[in-house]
Amino acid sequence: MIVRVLAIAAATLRESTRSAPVRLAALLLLLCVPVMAWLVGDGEDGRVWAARTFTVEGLRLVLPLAAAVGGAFVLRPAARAGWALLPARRGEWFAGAALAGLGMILLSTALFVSGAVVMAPGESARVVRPVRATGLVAAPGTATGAASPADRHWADPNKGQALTFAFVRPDTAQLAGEVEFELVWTQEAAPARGVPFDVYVLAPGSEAARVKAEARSLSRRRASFSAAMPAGDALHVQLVPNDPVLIVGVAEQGIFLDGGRVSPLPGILWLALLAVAAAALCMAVSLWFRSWSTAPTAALAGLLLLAALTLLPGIAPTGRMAADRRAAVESDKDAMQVLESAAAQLPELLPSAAFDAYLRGREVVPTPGEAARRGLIALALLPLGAVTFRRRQIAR
Amino acid sequence: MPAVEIRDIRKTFRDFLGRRRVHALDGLSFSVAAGEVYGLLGPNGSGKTTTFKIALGLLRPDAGSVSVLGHAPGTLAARRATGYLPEDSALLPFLTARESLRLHGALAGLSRAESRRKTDELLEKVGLKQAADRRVLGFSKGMQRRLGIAGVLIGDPQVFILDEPTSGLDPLGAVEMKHLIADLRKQGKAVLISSHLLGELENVCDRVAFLNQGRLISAGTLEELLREKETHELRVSPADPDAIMALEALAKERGLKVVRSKAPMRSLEAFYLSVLGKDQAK
Ligand SMILES: Nc1ncnc2c1ncn2[C@@H]1O[C@H](COP(=O)(O)OP(=O)(O)O)[C@@H](O)[C@H]1O
Ligand SMILES: [Mg+2]
Repeated sequence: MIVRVLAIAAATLRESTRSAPVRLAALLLLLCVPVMAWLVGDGEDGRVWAARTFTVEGLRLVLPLAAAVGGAFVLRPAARAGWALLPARRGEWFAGAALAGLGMILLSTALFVSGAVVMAPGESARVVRPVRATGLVAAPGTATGAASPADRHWADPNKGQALTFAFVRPDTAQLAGEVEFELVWTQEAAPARGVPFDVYVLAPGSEAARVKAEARSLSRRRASFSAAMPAGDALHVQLVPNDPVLIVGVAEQGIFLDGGRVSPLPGILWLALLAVAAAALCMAVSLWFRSWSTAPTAALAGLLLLAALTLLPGIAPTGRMAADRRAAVESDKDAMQVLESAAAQLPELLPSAAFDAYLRGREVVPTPGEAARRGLIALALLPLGAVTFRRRQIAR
Repeated sequence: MPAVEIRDIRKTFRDFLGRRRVHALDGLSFSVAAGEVYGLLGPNGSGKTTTFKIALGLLRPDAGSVSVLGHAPGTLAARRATGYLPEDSALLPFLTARESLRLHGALAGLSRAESRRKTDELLEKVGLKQAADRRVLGFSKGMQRRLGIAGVLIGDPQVFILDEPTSGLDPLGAVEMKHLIADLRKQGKAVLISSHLLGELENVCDRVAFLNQGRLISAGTLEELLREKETHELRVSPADPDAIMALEALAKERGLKVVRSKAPMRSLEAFYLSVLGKDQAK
């Protein structure tokens, strides 16, 4: 059985890599990131930014979708020619086609990533190694003691509250860092400043050494800060809300200090691994649909479901964070809001945090569990598809 | 035990909503013995391909039973024992002829060396040696047919199911196919072939069955079906006109009616093969 599956996979892989459009696509994949970065990027930093963007979007959007489409068609030669090659069972054709599909995913990822890696070695392409907080020193808004690092803590300016995070001193000359925050409006009023809080750096124990850091708004919910590095092994960063209408929420995971620059390559490889697992899952889903019917309509139905799964969390007008905030502030929701938060709760095809981190020039934290989970689901779907495909009558 | 036994099978194709649409087979029975060539004849849509697919286990009959060398169709034992040439050759277009045959060899469980040896041998046998490393995509229908039959032969099955094996073949190819089928019969294989062209089956089949709308309308050996009991043909040589006149006169004297008396024509096929032979000898 294994011999036959391998023979079929090898033949199908050969078959799929030989057509002219596929060869052209391979070339495009290889050149995609360098060429786009060169075209779109303005200056060294611009090119780095463009290369990161294209790498991330290629891996997290294009690859899974292409795998879904490919999965719908990869079975086509097997379905049309395969059942007739007698000694092999149709389940074996299914498995062989799936294996070939996986081969295609690996090949195209390798090509695409090679292009991305070419753009990575420069000094400016290096990514920041984040130094996370070791703990929260004072948390006025914490509800219970069992708060996880992902839980947000809230500070209300009208009650004089502040959030203080403890850090181990990073090994850099200048202190720099980033905060991701959430806001709750307490009145109908526009925010007064770009960054709704002041950032102070303290040497623990001595209130005298409290230094105000320079804070800059990066985007709607992100700010960066910098200050002279204080003496001592430990330091605290304190966020003090400064806009009376805005309550500020920050999670322990939402703040970090710049811990020096490292090579982006391991991060890119992790992202590629995650993307391969997600693409395998997409392919498995569409192969499974295809095992019910070789008709294009069925394949299309599979694609629609998949697109829904892939894109809905992204399309949903409010993200998970916003849904949390709303839940914290409002108790009754209308139907649309319920639907929105349901969409935001759908399992994500890919863990967006890893991709966002790289997009923002941060080191990617390896999450082997995330990749393994998706890969295992894909693997579990295949026997199901093989059984359906075997049971099916193929009249034409 | 017959090589293929088909008993009272019925098959109705349903549409998407499960409504009965086409009664493709309506109580069909026949059996094929080892060393026998059995022909299914019938117009397009009479159910020949459907019968084959049921015998292969690709379709399930609504009623009736099928066995291939005593095994249920579709089981591994039955599949191993069967070689199938589908109506549309079913090849992977981007593989070369050689790679296609290697795939067939691997699926049939041959070792690498054996598969390589048999591939070369069969490419020679079906006349595709020149095209061995060309992609199937560019093959004519007849070449695809030849490659298809080579793929069937590589596993050396006991039962051959060939769906319109001569369609698309040139006359020489058709004759070669007939020789090949005769060879298979000599080796004691059971061969089940179909065609909608009556002339094609005439010289190769031991028995034929006529299908129409999924029913067997007539079946038997060629001898039984085709023998004209009322007339007799006599061929003489040389064609001496005086002697022939005398023979005709004698026949009339004995009370026989001379139905036809003329110089026989060679068939176009025989003529084509003879000129082709001369041309290739040059
Ligand atoms: N998958 C199918 N769905 C519906 N009808 C079919 C299907 N396959 C075959 N048929 C019908 O069954 C009948 C027999 O077809 P087939 O066995 O292919 O005929 P033949 O091979 O003798 O030309 C035809 O009327 C055909 O239209
Ligand atoms: Mg047919």
